[in-house]
Amino acid sequence: MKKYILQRVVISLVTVWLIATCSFFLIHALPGDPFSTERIMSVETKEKMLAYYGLDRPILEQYGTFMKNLLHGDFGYSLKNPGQSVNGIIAEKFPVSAMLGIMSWLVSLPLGLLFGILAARKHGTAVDYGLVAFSVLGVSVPVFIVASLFQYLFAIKLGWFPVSRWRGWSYTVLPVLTLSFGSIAGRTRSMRTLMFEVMSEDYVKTAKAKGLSAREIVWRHQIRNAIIPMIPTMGMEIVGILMGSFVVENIFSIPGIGAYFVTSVQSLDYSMTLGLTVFLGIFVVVANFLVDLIYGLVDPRIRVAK
Amino acid sequence: MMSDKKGHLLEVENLAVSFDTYAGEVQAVRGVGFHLDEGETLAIVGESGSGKSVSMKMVMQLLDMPPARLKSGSVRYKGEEMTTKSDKEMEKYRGREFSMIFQDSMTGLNPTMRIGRQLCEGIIKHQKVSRAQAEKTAIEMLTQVGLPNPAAIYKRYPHTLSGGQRQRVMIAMAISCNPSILFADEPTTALDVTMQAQILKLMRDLQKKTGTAIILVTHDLGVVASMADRISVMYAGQIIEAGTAQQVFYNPSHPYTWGLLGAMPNMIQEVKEELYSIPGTPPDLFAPPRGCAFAARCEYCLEACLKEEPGYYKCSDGHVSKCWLMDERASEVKPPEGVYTRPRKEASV
Amino acid sequence: MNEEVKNSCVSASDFVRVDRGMDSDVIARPSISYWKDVWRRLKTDKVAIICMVYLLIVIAMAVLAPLLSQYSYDSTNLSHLNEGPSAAHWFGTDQAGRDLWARIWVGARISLLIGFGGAVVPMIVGTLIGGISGYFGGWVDMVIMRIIDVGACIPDLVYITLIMLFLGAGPGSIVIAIAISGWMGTARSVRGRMLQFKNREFVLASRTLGGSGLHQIFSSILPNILGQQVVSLTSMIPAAIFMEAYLSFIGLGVASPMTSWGQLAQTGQKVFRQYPYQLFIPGVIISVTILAFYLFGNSLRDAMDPHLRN
Repeated sequence: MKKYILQRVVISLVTVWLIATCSFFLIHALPGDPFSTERIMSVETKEKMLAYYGLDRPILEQYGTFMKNLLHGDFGYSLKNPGQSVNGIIAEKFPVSAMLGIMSWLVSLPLGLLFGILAARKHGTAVDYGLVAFSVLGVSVPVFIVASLFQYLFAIKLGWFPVSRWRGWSYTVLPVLTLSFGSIAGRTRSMRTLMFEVMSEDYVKTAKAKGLSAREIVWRHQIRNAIIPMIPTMGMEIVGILMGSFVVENIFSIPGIGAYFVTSVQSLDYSMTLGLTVFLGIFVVVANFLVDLIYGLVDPRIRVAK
Repeated sequence: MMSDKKGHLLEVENLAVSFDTYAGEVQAVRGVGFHLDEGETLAIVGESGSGKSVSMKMVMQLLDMPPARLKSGSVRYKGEEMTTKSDKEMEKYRGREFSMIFQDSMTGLNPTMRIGRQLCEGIIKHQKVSRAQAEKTAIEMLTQVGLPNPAAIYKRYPHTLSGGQRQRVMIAMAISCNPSILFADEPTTALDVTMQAQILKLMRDLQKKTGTAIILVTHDLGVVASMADRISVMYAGQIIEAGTAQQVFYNPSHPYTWGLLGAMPNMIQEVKEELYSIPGTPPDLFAPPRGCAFAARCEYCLEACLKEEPGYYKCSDGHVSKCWLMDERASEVKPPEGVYTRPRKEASV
Repeated sequence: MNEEVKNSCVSASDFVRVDRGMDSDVIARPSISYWKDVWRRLKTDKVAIICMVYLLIVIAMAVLAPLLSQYSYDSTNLSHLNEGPSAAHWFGTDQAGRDLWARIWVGARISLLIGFGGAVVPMIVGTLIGGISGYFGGWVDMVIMRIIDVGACIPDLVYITLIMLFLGAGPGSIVIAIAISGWMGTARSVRGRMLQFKNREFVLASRTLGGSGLHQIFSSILPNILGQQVVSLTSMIPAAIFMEAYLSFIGLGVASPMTSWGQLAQTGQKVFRQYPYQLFIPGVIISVTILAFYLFGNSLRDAMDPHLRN
């Protein structure tokens, strides 16, 4: 187990370093500079600005400074939002995105598992067909369509929930539902398949041969073994929710990190893009690391073998 | 064989099982019949895909239906018809009256559950005892199957045990509620030769102690020789020869059985020639042939064999063979060299 | 089990030995080639046929519709802004007065190209790298597997952002971005299959007969992993279409006046409350196309491995 954790830690650190380094050099290799889009700026001011942000230094020196600051957890200042540090923007905006993401995850995980188990248990019945139809639709309809439809139906037409913004619990319902919709569908689908796979395993036959009832077999033997292979995919799902949240934030006018990410990429805000990319990268890597750790804890085969 | 219907512990008649697949119906078992008495061992022998394992699982109703489907047949346990019982009713029999040992103990044990819990489940279910009492019984079972340090094994996960140890655990699990019939589905196939011998000895010893009847499903005639009282040979979903171990081993009368015996390595006799192997492959069970299923591979094939399926011919008391060669109209054939010349000693290993 | 033989059509004359040469495999089922067999099963699957017909129609429309339409996808008409569907403009017009029918099918070209490119490119790259890794083994394998271990930890979004920044928005960058994050999955599974097949009898046989390494990969291993690859293609195509729609929607994808389904949905979303059809039409087409690919993929997998089907 110790070796397993160590191995994961090393891979995670290498990954973070790689993300930071690649991002840094790719961004600096781009043609033009962050101020070239702003035409009003005189050559002098521009040079002053470049010097101010240290962008006139040799690239390796900049890289050194960047890495040093990164070790201290400092992403520097935004080039396009004067006077604001990237850390400040992240600290202000990310909690909203994280809140949205975590709530969606908390909604989608139990519901997806439940639907998947239900569909497998009721195999071949109307319940199964209904859930399969839902899961196929759910993974086919892009999140922005779902968001627009929910907004139109539940907020504009029916008036059950506020149309947009982020000011209290009632504001969270539609964004969270939208964001979890695809995850629930995806999870229902894979849980159903995994339940079937486990069902044909020999140990399920052994359990049946012991005289256990169908219910006992499902609860004691099937579900746990079906969930285990899903754990490693959770890292992927966190990325999916994160990406979906950018769209949902946009449509529901939620003041999260998504809008900053997109605009900083489009406006060549070096430090902002770099900061956000590395930050989100670290976030996902850490999430993956935790997922791996949980996987190791839950599956005894890994616990001992590695 | 069918004449005396009373007194058998288990009687299976005309069992037919098909699987409905996307590509069509697979007739895996096509009219199988056998019986089993208390305390005896019946071996069902055949190559993989011959339907032996499916028949056993059908008797215990362990097959998923669909895709499996019982087409016909009856299974009587202590005179009671089992095929009409619901899944719920079968729960009382499985594990308590019938239990099963699977071929692969790696996949047969739940990888994420400790040995102890897997053992206790059945005990608690059938003996209605407390957890602590079940643990005592479970540890006693682990001792009985010859596992060293049973209390430690009780707490371990399957993958930390060796193949032989796992198979012992499977046996402990199967006998924990003192069943009257133990179905052993290729119990030693996944093990190496020394381990095989140990597990077989264990099964024999336990049988002597508890009087459990065993149905041994295997493709390995070596295993059969040391265990079975009676033998049924299966081919393409049918029993093609049945009799006592002595009869089938020393007076085999079906060409397929000849082939099987010829293909068996002989440790006592010096190997002078190559092992015999039966040419060709078993028939397609999507569309079984009209005549004898073995005809296409049979060296002694008659015109009749291609035209019509033979019935069962009585060779001697309790010994039948499903082969046209047994018909009085057929001229006598001699089995190949080496089938009769094997030393008799082997049966008493 | 008696010895009675009643109602038998077998006569005494039938008890003669069948004379046959060495060849006893005469009764083998007529062997149909694997793909023919798959096709035979696929034809009986209604869902598969419906999906296939739909996809063929979409592809045909993407090729033909812009050629046949009297409107160009980028010609604006300020006197016909935001008009709903009509006889003149079948799908209506957008806020610049451009014909949406023409734009949808030009967008289809881009979206479908990205879909196929975003699936085929990473598939080929992944197959090559995975094949090399599995075939050579040793340190080559070790290095490649470590790269994949690390690469797989990096979120797609990071790759895509960086590639978009570096190459600029456009269909090519999207395909490259998808390929860079997508090859690793394929490489892993191909390597796995490769290791499985490497020591199989038929591969050994081909080696014994003097087949060279590369020849072996192409003649005996690739055909065996082809099936799985085709199935995973049917799920990679919709994933790439999905990704394009997402990227264009958040503004990192295809930029106006060039268009794609995602870009159409994004512009439609802005005016969704006033002109729902502008989001609804591209939205439905994207969803149904992705759905059709997924369902077709499912049917194809069932047809290729009938035993999997429950």
